[in-house]
Amino acid sequence: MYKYIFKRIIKSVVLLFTASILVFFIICLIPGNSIESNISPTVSKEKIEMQRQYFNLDKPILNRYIIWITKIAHGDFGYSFSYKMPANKVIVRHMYPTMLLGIIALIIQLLIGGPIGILGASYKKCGRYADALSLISLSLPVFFVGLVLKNIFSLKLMIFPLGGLFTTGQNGGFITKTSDLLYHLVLPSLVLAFGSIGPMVRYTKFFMADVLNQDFVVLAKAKGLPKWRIIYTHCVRNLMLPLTTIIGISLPALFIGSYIVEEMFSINGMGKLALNSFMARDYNLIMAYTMVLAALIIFCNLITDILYNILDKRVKMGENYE
Amino acid sequence: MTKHFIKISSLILILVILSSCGKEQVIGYQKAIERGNTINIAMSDNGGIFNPLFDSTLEDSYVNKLMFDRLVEVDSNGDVVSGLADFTVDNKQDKFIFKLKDVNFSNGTKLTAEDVLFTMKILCDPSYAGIYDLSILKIKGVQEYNEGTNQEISGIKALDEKTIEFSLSQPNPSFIFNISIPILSKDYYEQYYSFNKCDGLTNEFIKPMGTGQYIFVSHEQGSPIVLESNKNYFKGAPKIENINLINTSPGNEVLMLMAGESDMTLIAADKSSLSKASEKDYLNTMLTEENGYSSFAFNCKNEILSDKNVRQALAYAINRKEIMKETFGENAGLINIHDSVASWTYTNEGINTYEYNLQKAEEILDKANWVKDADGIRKKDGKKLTINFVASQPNPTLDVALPVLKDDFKKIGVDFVVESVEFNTFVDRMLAGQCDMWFFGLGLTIDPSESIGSFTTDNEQNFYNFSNKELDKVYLEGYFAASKDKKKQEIQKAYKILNDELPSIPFYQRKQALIYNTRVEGLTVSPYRDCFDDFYLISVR
Repeated sequence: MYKYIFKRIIKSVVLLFTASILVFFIICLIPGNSIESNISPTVSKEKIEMQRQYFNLDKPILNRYIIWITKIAHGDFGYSFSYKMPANKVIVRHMYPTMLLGIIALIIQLLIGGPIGILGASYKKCGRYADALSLISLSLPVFFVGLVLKNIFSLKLMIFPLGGLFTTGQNGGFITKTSDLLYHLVLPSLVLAFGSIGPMVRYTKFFMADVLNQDFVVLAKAKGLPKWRIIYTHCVRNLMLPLTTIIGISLPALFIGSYIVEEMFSINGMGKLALNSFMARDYNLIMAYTMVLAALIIFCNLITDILYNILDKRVKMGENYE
Repeated sequence: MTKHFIKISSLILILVILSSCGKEQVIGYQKAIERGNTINIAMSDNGGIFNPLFDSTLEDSYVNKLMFDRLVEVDSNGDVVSGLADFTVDNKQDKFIFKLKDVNFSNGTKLTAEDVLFTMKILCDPSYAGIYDLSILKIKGVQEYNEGTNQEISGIKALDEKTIEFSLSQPNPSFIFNISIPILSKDYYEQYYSFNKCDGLTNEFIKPMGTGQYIFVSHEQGSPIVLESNKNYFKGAPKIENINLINTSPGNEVLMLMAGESDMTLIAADKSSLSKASEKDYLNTMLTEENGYSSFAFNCKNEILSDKNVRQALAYAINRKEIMKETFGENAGLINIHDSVASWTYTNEGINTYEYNLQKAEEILDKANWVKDADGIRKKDGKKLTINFVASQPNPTLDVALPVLKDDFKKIGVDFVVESVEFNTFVDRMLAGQCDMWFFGLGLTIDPSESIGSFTTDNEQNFYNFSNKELDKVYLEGYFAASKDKKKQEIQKAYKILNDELPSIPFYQRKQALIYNTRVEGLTVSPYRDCFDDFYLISVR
């Protein structure tokens, strides 16, 4: 297994390198740059030209890429033009709210979507409700759900805050701050999870139905085991493998798709950062964001494969892949 | 499944209906009152750059205005007045002397000429990527310092601890308008800066420290920026004890005021926000013009648009009033010259308003020998009257304007071709001279002659490729005018030339709205001086 992991890491580095070339060249070919778009009567053309030279924007794309990749090797993602600080610091600053939001949304998605899917496949009556719920989840746009929940719970009932991560003016220790943070993330994470609950219900229901048709379930039924025991002792365990794949795919998707929720609930996260950096043609920041995202996707896939091996001993990773 | 789908959908519908018929809340006002002598300000687009030399968003500049002061300031009429220093100008306008007031930084150290010198050195540093550019001020020795050939800026000298002299290579009356620069403490910031390495100055771990009305307390990701009053502020101790500046999404500012989560916000006025604010008795609104304007601009190098008649005909064919009303309602005002209506140089005297008149537009084109062809498009010397309009999208004004323009231009025989691109591509195309006509907004500076400068022949901001010898002459006469009256006279002469020549058609000036809780008192706002400039005078009930 260790040999396999090592090989996968090497492949991941190659993949990241390829992604970096593609993204860098595509971004640099888009017209406009953050320095030239700074039209102001108080900034001279000489200064703009000087800045272009200072930040190597006057050099050919290939040279710029070599400079960039050399810096990356030293852990330097370059200077963010729009945030006026190193790009890696900007990324770190914006990453944790999005990560937190994504993880909580994933937990909600699993806790709601998983059991409904299982019940939907096991009991016919529940199945109809599960289908209806997943249809609604898939049909209602995130911004609509967000606006409705915000209007009811923040503006009318004033139970939850309108946005942000912390209560203004609140001081306290670690526990107070954490609970305040979680309280602020209730609505955003529910909204973010809402759109993913539908697919989760569908996947779980589909795989569960498949497991329920397996011979060992028929045998368990014939032995007279109660239905709840067959489901929770025998079937759910077999459901773990496909669910692991879904989780592996879902986390980066939640990370990427959080822009609307972040904007709606005033969370200064990665989604907002990505859009702003692209609009400002902040090359270094766009590259840093893309690399972090690519690394996250690769990492999640790697973890999924490793979990496969742990959950099902029949999967021999090293042998299967060689 | 349909039955269950209907059941669940009905439940959601009930929730939606519930959300729209909640009873009127007074909790919002109570919540605000409970904060006592602390004020919450909602603002969007806060980039978190707490160094006034580097801020790039308007919101960052508001925060920095609370913590830092400028060498000179602008009063509500747009006149330069003393800030951290009193100033004298010699007759030739090439030597400016600043006498620093007895001011302390919030850490207790004294403001000296060394701090001014240090700030100017940062602005001349090759790695400096902020909004100020000292090279346009014609200060002696800026280039040599920037290139590293000289370790000092020869044109900036500390005469004593409190006096600093700026020598210019040529007379520059605009200097005083442009030297309104915030001053950093050398003693405090020097450790984060070395020549050709400015990025340390914006490090997020540096606690900003200036001479300003308020002192920085804290700011963590996701939390508000917390400031406390500077009891030793040189203009007088602020009345409000604490400020929390909350970063929120655009459009959320008014909702926060309604919910009592904030006490005030300063935003671009729009119908939706103002209507929401008017729903609550405890919210007031103050409107004032933004210091900038929007216009339709022409590339005068273009063979067709180099003809003044075509530009004038197009101006008559644009229904500016209706387009503006449809986009902004009462929250913008029509302008006919390239200036703010609040400016001391603004005039309507002798200015053609180019009222919407398609017949007049057709008459002008007929006179200029642009003859309609069988397809309804005009031609002259075999050349079709085609205008390529490059539209920077998204833009709410263009959403309304473009269909109207297409229709009206067709009526007068103009083939109007629109290409929509995003902002950076638009700028790229405009700078490369690849647009015939475009729409954009421009910010104005304190110096009214700068707006005219951008239409003069050799000006590098002349995106219009416009050239008029008379305008160049009048501009210089206004620029170097000895008295304010003479300056005003020459600038107004220039506006009349531009009004006739029309290298760009001035369109509208938007308003900004200061929306605040009625418990806040003493707020003032003008296009030149916003409420953050004099925040120390504000109090709460």
